[in-house]
Amino acid sequence: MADAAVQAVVMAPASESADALLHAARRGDPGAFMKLLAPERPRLESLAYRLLDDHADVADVLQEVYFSAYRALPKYRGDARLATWLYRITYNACLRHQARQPDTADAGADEGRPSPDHASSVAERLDLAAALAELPVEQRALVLMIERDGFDYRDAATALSIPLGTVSSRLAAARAKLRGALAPDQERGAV
Amino acid sequence: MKKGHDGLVDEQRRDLELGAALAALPHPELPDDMDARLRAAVEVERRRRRRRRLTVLALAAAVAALITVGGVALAGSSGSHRPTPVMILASPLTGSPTPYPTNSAGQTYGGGQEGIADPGLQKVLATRGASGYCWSSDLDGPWPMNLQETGWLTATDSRREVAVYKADGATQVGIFIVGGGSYSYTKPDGTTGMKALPNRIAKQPPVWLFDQMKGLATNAGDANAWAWWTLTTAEQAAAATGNSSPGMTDPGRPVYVAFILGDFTKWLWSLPEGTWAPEYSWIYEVVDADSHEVDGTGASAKPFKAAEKLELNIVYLRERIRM
Repeated sequence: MADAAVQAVVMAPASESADALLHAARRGDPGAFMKLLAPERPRLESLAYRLLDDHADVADVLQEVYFSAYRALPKYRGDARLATWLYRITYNACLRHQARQPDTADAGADEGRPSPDHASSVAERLDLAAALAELPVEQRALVLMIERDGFDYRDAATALSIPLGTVSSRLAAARAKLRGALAPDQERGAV
Repeated sequence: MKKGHDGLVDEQRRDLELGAALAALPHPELPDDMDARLRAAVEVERRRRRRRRLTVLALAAAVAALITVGGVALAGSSGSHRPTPVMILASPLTGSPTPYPTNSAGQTYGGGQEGIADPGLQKVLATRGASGYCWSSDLDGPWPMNLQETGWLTATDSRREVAVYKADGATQVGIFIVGGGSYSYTKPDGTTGMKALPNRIAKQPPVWLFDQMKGLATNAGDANAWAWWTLTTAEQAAAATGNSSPGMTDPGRPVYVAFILGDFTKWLWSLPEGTWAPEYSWIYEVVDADSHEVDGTGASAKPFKAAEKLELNIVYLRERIRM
């Protein structure tokens, strides 16, 4: 019997399941809401982690994101992808949180330059994290959305409330800075 | 030409590498109870929504009851036996026993308490400093027939005098000015405090904004709060709240901004369960006028001085029906 139940769940079409979850979540079912957001949660967590200067604030901001999303879901019209809509809420929550902080000059300090004996891939990753942290927050969100999470330019423009053309120009600037961090030492002029 | 093609291929390769490197960045380590905290945040809003639904149902029930009573009264007036007049009172919906003392006539009196129906006679401070009680029905004004009519909840266009009595509800000791006096309330620790009533002319906020402000105040710990609100631009709201978002792309975007005054002891959606915020007196909320999406909230122990530049309207967020 247990196997049959598992089978039934596995056989359910994914899209139908998502629609049903969305419908139930809109009606206010907290369980459905949590399930609906579960696939997006790692990306939202990661976005908040990279946008916030103080990583200890990620949990607080995520709570705010969930609260806002649950509150606004009945008004979600589906004209943007749910993921895009959630990105927008998370991005706005991060901006609001940053604006409330007194001073954020030491961005990304906890992932600073690598020590010489680190493996090169780790060093590159740390360099990249540091370079990412140095980008303006809007460019950071753009590059994460497009390069890491595979959103298209239109989704990114929607999520960040910026014109499509601005997406291109800011993404190009962000890419140039990050490629510098990924490039071999020789390319960066190191000895 | 070949060089251009190679350049494009190289660029695509480097984009892929960049994407892969970004994906390989470490994932945040979040608290073990993160699931529970997210569920708690959702639960706060679910409860607010439920309270709102119950309020609408209660209003609908009250309207239905009035219509029924009216029908019975009309039917009775044509016959030989007139029915006994029935008075519908704003009674507690929960049916729980009242915690207020009663006078010799059985009427409840005291300071309104959070989460239960008001007493029949509410403690106030009269204009000349005498302590006494006003009939809740006098303070409240007419019973709203629908959510739109909760405009009653706003400070009215003109100041209104209400008689203040001793606890017997009959011996007048002074007057109380609605929209210009003060009223008593019970703090979370059980002690009673007095708050000044504003006396500026108020304008009715949209019902959805009223609900949002009331929900925010309630969730922050004081359903008996006052709000100063207005429709303005994102830029002006940012200046008034001191929350100038660096990502603001449309400074002219219409937003509502509200400054809420109360005893705010909770900040449920941004604090870990079991921890408490300092006792804020002021919170603000900025809401997009079109999407109704909250742009920002914040709290302060002091008034937002920059908000004085805005022309603000006052609204009283007290719960009309306690659940």
